Amino acid sequence: MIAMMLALLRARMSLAVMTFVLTALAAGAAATGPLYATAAARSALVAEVEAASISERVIAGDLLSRSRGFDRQNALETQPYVPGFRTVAGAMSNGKLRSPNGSASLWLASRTGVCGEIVVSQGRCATADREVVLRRDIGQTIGAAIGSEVQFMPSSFGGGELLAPVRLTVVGHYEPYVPTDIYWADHIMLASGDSPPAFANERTVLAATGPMLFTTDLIASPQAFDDRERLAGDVANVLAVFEAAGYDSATEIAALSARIDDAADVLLGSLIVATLPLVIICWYVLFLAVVGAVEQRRGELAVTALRGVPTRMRWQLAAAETTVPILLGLGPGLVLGFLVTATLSATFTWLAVALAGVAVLGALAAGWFAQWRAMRLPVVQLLQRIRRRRGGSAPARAGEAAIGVLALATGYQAATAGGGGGIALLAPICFGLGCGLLAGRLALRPTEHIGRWFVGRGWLTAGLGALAIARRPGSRAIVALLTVGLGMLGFALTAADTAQQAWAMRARVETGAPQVLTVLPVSGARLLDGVRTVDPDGRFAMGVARVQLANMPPVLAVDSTRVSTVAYWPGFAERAESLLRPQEPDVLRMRGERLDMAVNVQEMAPGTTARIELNLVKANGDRTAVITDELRVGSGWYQMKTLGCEERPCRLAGMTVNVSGPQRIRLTLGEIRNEAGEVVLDRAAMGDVKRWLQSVASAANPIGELESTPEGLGVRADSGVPVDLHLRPRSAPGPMPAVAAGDLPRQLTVVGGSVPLVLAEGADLLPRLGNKGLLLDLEYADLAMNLRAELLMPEVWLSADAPADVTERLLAAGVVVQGRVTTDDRHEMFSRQAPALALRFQRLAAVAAMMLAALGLIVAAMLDRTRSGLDLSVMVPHGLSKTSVRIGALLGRWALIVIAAFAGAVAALAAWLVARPVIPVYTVDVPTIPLPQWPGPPVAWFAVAALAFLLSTGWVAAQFSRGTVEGANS
Amino acid sequence: MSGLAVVCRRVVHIYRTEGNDVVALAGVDLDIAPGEMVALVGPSGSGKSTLIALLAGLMRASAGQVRIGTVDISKVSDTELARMRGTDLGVVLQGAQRNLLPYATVRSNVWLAQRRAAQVRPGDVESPERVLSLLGLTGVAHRRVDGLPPGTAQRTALAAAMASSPGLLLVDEPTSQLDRKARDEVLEALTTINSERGTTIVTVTHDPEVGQCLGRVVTIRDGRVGSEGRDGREFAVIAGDGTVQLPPEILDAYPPGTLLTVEHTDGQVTMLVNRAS
Repeated sequence: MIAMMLALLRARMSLAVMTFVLTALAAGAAATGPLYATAAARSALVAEVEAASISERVIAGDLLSRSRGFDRQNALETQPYVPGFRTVAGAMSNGKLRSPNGSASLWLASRTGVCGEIVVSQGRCATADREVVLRRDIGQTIGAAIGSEVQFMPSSFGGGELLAPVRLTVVGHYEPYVPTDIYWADHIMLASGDSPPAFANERTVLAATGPMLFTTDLIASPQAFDDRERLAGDVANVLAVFEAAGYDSATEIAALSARIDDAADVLLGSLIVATLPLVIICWYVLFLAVVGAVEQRRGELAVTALRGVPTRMRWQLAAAETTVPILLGLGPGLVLGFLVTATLSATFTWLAVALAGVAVLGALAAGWFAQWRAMRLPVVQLLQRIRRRRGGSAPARAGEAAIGVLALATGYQAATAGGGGGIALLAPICFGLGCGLLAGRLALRPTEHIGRWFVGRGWLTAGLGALAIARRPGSRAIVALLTVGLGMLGFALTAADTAQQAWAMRARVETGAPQVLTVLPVSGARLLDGVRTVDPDGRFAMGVARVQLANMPPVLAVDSTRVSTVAYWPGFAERAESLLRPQEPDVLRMRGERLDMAVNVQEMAPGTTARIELNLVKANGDRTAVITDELRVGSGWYQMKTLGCEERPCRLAGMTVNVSGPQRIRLTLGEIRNEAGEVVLDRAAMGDVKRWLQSVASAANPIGELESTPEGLGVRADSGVPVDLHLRPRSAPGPMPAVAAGDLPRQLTVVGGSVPLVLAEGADLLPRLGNKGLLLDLEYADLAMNLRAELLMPEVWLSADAPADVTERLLAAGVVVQGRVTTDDRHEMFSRQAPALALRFQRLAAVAAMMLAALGLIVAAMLDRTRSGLDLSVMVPHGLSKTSVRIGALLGRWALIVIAAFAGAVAALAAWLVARPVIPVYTVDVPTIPLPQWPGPPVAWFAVAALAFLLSTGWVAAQFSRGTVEGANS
Repeated sequence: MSGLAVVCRRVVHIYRTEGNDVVALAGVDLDIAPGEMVALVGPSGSGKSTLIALLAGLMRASAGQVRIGTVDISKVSDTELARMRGTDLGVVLQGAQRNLLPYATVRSNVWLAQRRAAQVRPGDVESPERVLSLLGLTGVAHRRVDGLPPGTAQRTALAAAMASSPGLLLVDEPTSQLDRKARDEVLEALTTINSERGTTIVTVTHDPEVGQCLGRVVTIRDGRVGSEGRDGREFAVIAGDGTVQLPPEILDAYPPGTLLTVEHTDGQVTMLVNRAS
């Protein structure tokens, strides 16, 4: 028996191979779903974690201790450790670092693993007690070379009182860094701005006697999210530990975890649902193939029946040619599934094996069903060579129509059931099946009439071709199969293309410009100056700074004069300058290597000393201060030596009357001239009281009285407590115009005051910020808020045609580029997230479905082998030319394909219209970024290519069928 | 197994088709003794192939009785019919290849045809080699049948039909499309089967020599037994309803409607034409 089975398989090798291939495809498709889902979920998890904000990846706890001599162990005896998290503990003390050659305000900080995060360019990292490593530029500024001794004097936060110093040895200099890496956990103190941290070990920092900020950051790696149920418990435990220790804690890790859960659900649902149609198509084509095989050996079945061979043996013999290759298809199918998902590093899952097994069992059932139908036929029917056409009866027509309508209804229900993207993916196959069945029924009937009409007019080739396809038993099945394949493909291509458009749009919005350079923290003025030096005409570069303000919506300050040429901001880019910068700032600029100021001190209490200090901002953004000698009662000119204002004028950022001793003084500030005698600030300007801004007065913080006088600005102070006599020129108009998405706060609170805002215009979308935040002019913001570097995350936005050497140019202008992000990078990030992976699989499945449908054409051609009576070649002896036979066969198949193409287009369109809203595009939707409604031209090209492919396959099938039939006839 | 008798009584078979029905057999009466060899002849469409299909159980008679041995084959179940095909009935369809599995060897075809008999009466089953030797096929046992010459293929088909030593062998056109040598081999095989096994053999043929070889020739005309030839003599046959078909040459001389007077005297039946009509 086995020998006979083997002989049978050898004799039916082509069919066996086809059965094997189809089973392998079915098993592969079934296995690919869970394999891809598992691997894609992992990949999407990593993508989600990488794309997450820092607050979503960090459990942050901090404790501010104002008491001196605080023992860290009293706060948190044991640092919490959680699998998948990196625990970074830190301690920070604010103060001044003094060396014999200078001093600088900074943070003395310890942080777990900091030596692995910073780049020490000179010396080594601080490891032993009383060692410190300074940022290179700070070391150079205060003249703290390697090996030099320095003193750190802690200060009370905000109070400025210097406490007992800590002696330190400088052991290294580190390079500036961009604090965007998650290691820094968004701590402003570690932002590496104007007051950068100096790193030491923990004992050294704790030796400082001032107030101390303790931080503990648990930084999540992607592995932390592998077991999200456990993660929730771990996070709760950590928060409880923080609470018990008195730490303030903050984390949004639950949001990220939920998002990853959603992504995994989307993937698993989408992929398994996308797999299902593929497996069903495999089964169906397999069924057609087995039917073809059974058709071919009806005579053999008749022989075994005629010999009275026992049913069991007849079944074994008949089923061998399908059972053996089907069972053999399981292993390669699994391998195929792994290969398809190899790019995602798929790992073994029993679910994949189980589903592949189900696919194989289904294939077996399809094959056996086809066998069973033949086995139960009487011998005499098995001996008949021509079978009756099926499906012509009224009940059959009604049944087919019912299935078609049911499929359409199911597709509609699937798309509108609210089950998200997964179940909605059933819509294309349902609509494809419905449209295919209806098209087969509606189109083939007229085709028969048309064929008769053609024949009646003597157009034999076209007429007989039409009749042949109308009467071929499998024509309707082929139309349905092709419609399903093309419908799925059209839908998948449409979904993929519109998603690509959406990602591109969102990438542009969220990046803000084609390229974004992350630069080392600098002041707003320096950033503006550097960028304008590199691109004076504003053609390709724009300075941008994200401003970090507590309890405020995200703020983005842009050089609004360049938004139209650099930024992507549809509907606003051209108007940005007029909205955000309605007028040029009124800036007081002073050029000269020496400034002479006229001052008339009318009254000064005995024992009081006073000086005038001017805060200047150089053209390159550097700040400098000049100060007069002690003031004397009476009029006089006071000289101040400037540095860096002689070639390019400096901007007057502030003016302070520093009074020590009894706070009673009355004076008039007059004009300012440079060394050449040129008036750089005349008396009228100086005396305009409205020009100057002061801090908000309070009982604890009295401010001086100002008055306008012909000689200039009168200033008066008379108080028992120190009087704030700091004046800031009003350079920017107030309130400051802002374009806001979402609610606009009335004012921005900054150090030393607040800046009132006015809504220039509301916007649904802001570049980079999306649908929440506000946009300001960078120069206005710098002038109004005196933006310090540590508050800024400066960037340089570039247009697509920015010169390649812009990084070097910026470096020469004092702006150090640390990183580059492009819209393509952002787009690529979307393409790694769960929806993209799901859509990619859907596209893959759709292409596979179309290929299988094409395979169905070949299988149908094989079926025609046994139906030579229906082939036009039987007309050759009656005078029909062989050429006409060939053309007729080809036209017949092409007609089926064209009918299916129309039906497939209708199915894809219907599915798209219904299911479009629930197709997953983003992990986190941004409702204000509209999703494209319709695909672009590439989809049309793909559709044409698919049609051409199917027409080619139809030609091959016609050749195949003709060859076999002619061979059979000969 | 010894030969089986065949009895047909008033057998009628009608093909049902869309539009009109076709009467293929219109009341066949036929008796074949166990071990007898009979050739069914007749013009195309006369019903001889239908008759042999009824004998083989491939179709059921519309009316009448078809008995093989003691079994009324018109009334048995499909299961019993399958058993009979595997044990008591050997059938050879027209065209040798239609009777064989083309991918299998000669021996495998015979072996497969014995499976039912091997279950039902294993003691009677001969080895395939013995069956093949009976038909002179010893040297081709391991050849695939799709490469056999026509005469050998026909004998292989006979071997498969005889594999279970049936009591009745039904053969449709055993010598068509064969050359003389092959035809003789097939005829020799048939006579060998009959002589050695006592198998009842019924063949359908257009070849007069086959009829002569088999001895008894039954002519089917218009769905009835028209005449019968035995040992070179031609006989008219009285059907169960009393009708007798006249030979065709007489029909040509006397058109339908001719009146006859039938006289029966001393065992002789004389039909006289009424000249007055």
